[in-house]
Amino acid sequence: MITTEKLSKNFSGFRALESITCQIQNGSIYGMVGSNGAGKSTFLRLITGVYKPDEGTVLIDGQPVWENPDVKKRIAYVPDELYFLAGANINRMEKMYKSMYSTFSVEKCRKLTRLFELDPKKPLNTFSKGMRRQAATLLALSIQPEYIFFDETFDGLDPVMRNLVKKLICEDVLERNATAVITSHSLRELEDTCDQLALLHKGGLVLQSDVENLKTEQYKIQAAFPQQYEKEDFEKMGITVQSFSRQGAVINMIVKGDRNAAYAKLRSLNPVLLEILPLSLEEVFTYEMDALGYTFDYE
Amino acid sequence: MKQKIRFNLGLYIEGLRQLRVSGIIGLITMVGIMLIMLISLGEYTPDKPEQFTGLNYMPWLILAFVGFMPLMMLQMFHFLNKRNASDLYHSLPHTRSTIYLSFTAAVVTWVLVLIFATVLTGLIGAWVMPERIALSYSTLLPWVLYCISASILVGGAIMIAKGLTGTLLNSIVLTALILFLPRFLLSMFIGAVESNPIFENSISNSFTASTINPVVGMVFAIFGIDYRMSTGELAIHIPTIVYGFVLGLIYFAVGGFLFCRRSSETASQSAPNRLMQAIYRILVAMTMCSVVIVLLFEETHLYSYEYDMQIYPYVIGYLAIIFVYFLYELLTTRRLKNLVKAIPTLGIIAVLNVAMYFGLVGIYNSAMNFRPAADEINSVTIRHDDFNDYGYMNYSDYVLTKIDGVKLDDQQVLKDVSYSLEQSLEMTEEDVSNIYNHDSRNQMLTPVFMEIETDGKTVMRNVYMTEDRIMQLNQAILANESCRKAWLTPPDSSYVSIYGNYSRFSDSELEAELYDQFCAEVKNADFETWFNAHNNYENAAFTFTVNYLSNGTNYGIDIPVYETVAPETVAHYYQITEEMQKEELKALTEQLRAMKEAGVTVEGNVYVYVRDDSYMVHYNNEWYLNETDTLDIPLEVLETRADGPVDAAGKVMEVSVNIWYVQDSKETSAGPEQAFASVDHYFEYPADDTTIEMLMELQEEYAGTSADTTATTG
Repeated sequence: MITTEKLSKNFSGFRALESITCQIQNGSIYGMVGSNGAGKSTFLRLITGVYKPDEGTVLIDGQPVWENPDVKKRIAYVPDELYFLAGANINRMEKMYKSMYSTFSVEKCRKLTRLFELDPKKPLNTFSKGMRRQAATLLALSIQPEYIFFDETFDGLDPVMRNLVKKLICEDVLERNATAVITSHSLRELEDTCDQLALLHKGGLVLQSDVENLKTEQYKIQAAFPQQYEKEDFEKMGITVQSFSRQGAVINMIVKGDRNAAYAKLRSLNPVLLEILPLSLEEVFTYEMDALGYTFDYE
Repeated sequence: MKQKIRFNLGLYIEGLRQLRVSGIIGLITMVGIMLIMLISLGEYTPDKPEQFTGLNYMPWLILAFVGFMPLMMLQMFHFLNKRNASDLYHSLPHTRSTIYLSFTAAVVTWVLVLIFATVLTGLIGAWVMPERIALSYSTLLPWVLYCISASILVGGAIMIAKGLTGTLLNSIVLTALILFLPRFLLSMFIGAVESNPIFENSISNSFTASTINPVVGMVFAIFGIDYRMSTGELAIHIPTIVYGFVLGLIYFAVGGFLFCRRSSETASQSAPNRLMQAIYRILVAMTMCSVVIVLLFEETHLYSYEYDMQIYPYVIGYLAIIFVYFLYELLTTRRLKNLVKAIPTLGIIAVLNVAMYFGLVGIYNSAMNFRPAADEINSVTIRHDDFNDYGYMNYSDYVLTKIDGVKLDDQQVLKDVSYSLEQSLEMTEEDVSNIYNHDSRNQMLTPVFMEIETDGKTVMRNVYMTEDRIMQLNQAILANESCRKAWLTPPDSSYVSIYGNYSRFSDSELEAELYDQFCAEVKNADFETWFNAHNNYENAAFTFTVNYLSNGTNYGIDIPVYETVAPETVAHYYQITEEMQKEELKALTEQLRAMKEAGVTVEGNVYVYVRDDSYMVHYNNEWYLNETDTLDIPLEVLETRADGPVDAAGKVMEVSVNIWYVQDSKETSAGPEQAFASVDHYFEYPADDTTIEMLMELQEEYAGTSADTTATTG
């Protein structure tokens, strides 16, 4: 399990991360979303031991990460800005990783290279951006880590490769009980892959929840009644209204709570129109942010 | 969490692998140059093996620390300059200390491979060609250790720089500052003080001298910035080698500490924070300011000028420094607004300049104020100073070197020294070049390099003394038993050549035999006789030039041999030369007679030159040879020589016989056949007045063949 407690990081007076406290369970896929400059990459660098925390702690299975080879050998990290040795090809990088990670599997590396249809002898600096990202991903997966961290990994991948990478991550999580942490600025990328999602904004963790809960806990109700009701009327009935708007006779509400109970209560008012519609994750996040007083734009 | 500093084999091998290309280029370069040199030596067979010290046998070992160590260190730790690379390496499952140690070991391994591969190639070459190469093994090992020591020092300096910055440019600038700035400043300031001839080579000591640092010392010696030690002396200077090792290891330790503390986010930043960036700026600026300060000091304290001091050169100098100051900031941070932030630091630089100037003035005044009275001086030790790099030493220098100075405590000597020092300092107060003028009694002054010991301290000074005082000093020196003994003990040397009136003396065995005889004979010679003959430049019968190895440098020492000092050696020399000349003369005579009998046609000349021991010409003429009968001319010329061996005090006849074309009258079906080789002989014979008369008769007899119609007698 990954645990951070009041994790903070400064850069020349700029507060990049502010007191992040979270837990990431083993065998889960944890997604972190946020706008550019939110602190996602900084968070990952702290967890992988690249940066030293200025305040707070980062523990993996109860052990600090910083300068701890015993923990770091169980970690693989695919950063947003990739790095390969000058003039190296996949074979050369394979040798480098093999000399640095005792769990590195050459067999798996070669299998994944074939799967991604990459030429292991061709210099990596001749690869496209997407191919370089594929190469970095397969090298990281070949380490067979217990914890794997992807920073903006899907950026530059075509839809087919994106699905392939997601599939490989899921396989590792399922087969080896690995834990994956994926950051992205796009919710859509993470929606169908992650178990948990967190939202980072201006260095702070503003939201963290199970994806299933997020999707089912909030929903949209469209209704029309013979008489006019206001938001407070519904709240008096015990319905938690996150957002309320009216267009003519039609009321649109974002409601949080038990769906069936809310439906029953509204039915008792003899609506002319009553529909319950699911929300996308984007909508969920947007309304959560509104409730918290944050406003920002998604892509 | 405290982790043990561990070495990791996997990282080490990966490091070796990453440096493979640079290493192979290094091997090809250094071993290649060695092979080229060996091949060029193998192209000819010299009379004697060429003597090599370690340095002049493989000077390109210097590439190890000026080229390949810095290249490989920067390459190995390049990841510290890029964010993405830095992130990758810092995410590896190894502590920073492990990464540092393993990668550093990889670099050092490659550099050692380069050095030892080159040395091994050279050793094999010396073993295979002993007739061409005489390698001094006692200087080779120190030179190898020197290069290793300097490499460690360079590597350590680079790692300190890399721990303090995140860009390649700043890494290089900081490395240069770490390696050179302290010694540069010391050399500048000490050099400024030592511009006063009295303090030349006197202020610095073995620790402050740039020669203690193997990198700085060698660079300064090569570029002539510091003449204190030759490159050859440096290359085997054990204190320098040890100092380099120790300092290099300290640098590596500091570099490791900084590496481990360095945050990954420093990559691609010129400095970890604004304070460090300001310090770098100040250091760069102060390096240049030191030059201006020294110039200002020289103008205000060392030299007087006819014109008033000009301010504008200094203004221009400081403006240039300010320009470079801001340019450095711009190049390293690439942000224009930082230039404004850099302005306040100029104030610190101004303060440092003032402090530096007055500090230098203080040091100079302190030296100028050292004027002990005679009763305050315990002793003086006369030493030899300033071996140049041209490989020559006279016999007096050799003696002083051998006995490491002559210590004197005679009261008269101390009085003379005290007075002369005071006088010298007074003369240089207004302008240091006044010391080269005559003193108040119109006497020229000569410097004597000495160590002056008082109760408070011991200093070195060039004390300028009048001739009469130097004579008294010499007498005191010569009364010293070690000095007298050293005079009578010529240096051990296996490489001896003889220069004398018979200049074709090139039998190395005979030369060595004569030298051994001389050394044995001179041990029992009269010291005064020899010393006076040497100092009065009396005529020597001949001169030994011996190769003398001192502190890793080969010196040639000319040792004149006087008949009054070594009569047996001189007699033996004359006997040998006379026999040699007789044999050569016989061979030439037989050849000329045979050519005449064969009736050959020739083209050549005979040149005769008669001089005395002061090289005053008494006769010279040249005859042109063009037909068979003219072959009588060289035969008759040679018969004009006087009897006995060449006398150093007498007249000498120099005869040159050249016949460059010989055509035999005998013809074959292929054409005229040349049965005789060309002739090229040069002889020196004893001559007297009879010789000259005979030559003049010969000149009349063969008037038509004289090429030089200005034949004269004098």
